[in-house]
Amino acid sequence: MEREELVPRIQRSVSAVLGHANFEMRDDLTAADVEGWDSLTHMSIITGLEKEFNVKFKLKEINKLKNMGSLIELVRSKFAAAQP
Amino acid sequence: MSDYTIRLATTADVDFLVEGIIAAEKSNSPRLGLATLFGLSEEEARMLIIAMLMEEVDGCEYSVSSFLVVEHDDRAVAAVAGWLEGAEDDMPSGLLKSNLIGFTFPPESITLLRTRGEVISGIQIDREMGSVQIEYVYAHPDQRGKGLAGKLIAAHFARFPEALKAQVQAFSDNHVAIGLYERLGFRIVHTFTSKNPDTIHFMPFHEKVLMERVIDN
Repeated sequence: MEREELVPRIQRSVSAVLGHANFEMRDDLTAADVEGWDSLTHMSIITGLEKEFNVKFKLKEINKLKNMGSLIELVRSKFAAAQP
Repeated sequence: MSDYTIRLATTADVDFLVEGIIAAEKSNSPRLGLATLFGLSEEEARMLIIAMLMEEVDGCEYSVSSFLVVEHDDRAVAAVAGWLEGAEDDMPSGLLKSNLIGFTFPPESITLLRTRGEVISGIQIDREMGSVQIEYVYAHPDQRGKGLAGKLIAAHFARFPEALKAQVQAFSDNHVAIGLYERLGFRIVHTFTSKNPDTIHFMPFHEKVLMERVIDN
């Protein structure tokens, strides 16, 4: 899946948890920059993305997520690896 | 203190660390948030805390590497968690903790937490990046009053000579803990009160304080 298709799907999935879309999908965006993205919603965001893309993240992978860019890249690589 | 030794915790200490975590989380109440919020029994929560510790993730309160213990007569008798907030790739410890819970707890418990988030949102306290975080201060009942907690906290400060500030949190009704932290130089800088009437059914108390002190290593 191309990044142009991936990014809006990730944004929709994150927005569904947060209840708003008041954030830009910049690569350097961090959780601290986004209203409502805290330790409680973070859990739902991660599980929401796993469901949306039918992938399963490893703990080490999500513990290394520094920003939106690294999240997009992780989803892209996991999704690509899951394709037949 | 001659036969009391301070050392880093290892996975061999996990049972004692969990004893301390549960006691600190309950804060003299019968309510363990890690059980009540997730629809689990205390025993189920205990096993999941062990599972989180055994993942050996660094940089949060469920990291074995965050704990220092006091050993006496070949057994751990006191423990305190301490870490430098954001030291692990700038990741807030709250997100590391969330990842651990999300990875370890049953999916139905995570789903249940989503419906109960409002219960604790008012007493969720952000931790300051670059500060030393102190959590889960615990001494075995027969070792209390010996100053072990203070020595462990001081030892944590020494681990992070670059840090200028330390933070600790406590439920407002835990006067023993707050008194201890005040004697160790901490001062209350903010009080967080949950306005949700259900908070007290799930958590030890509906109000928490954030305490801070300067570190002068």
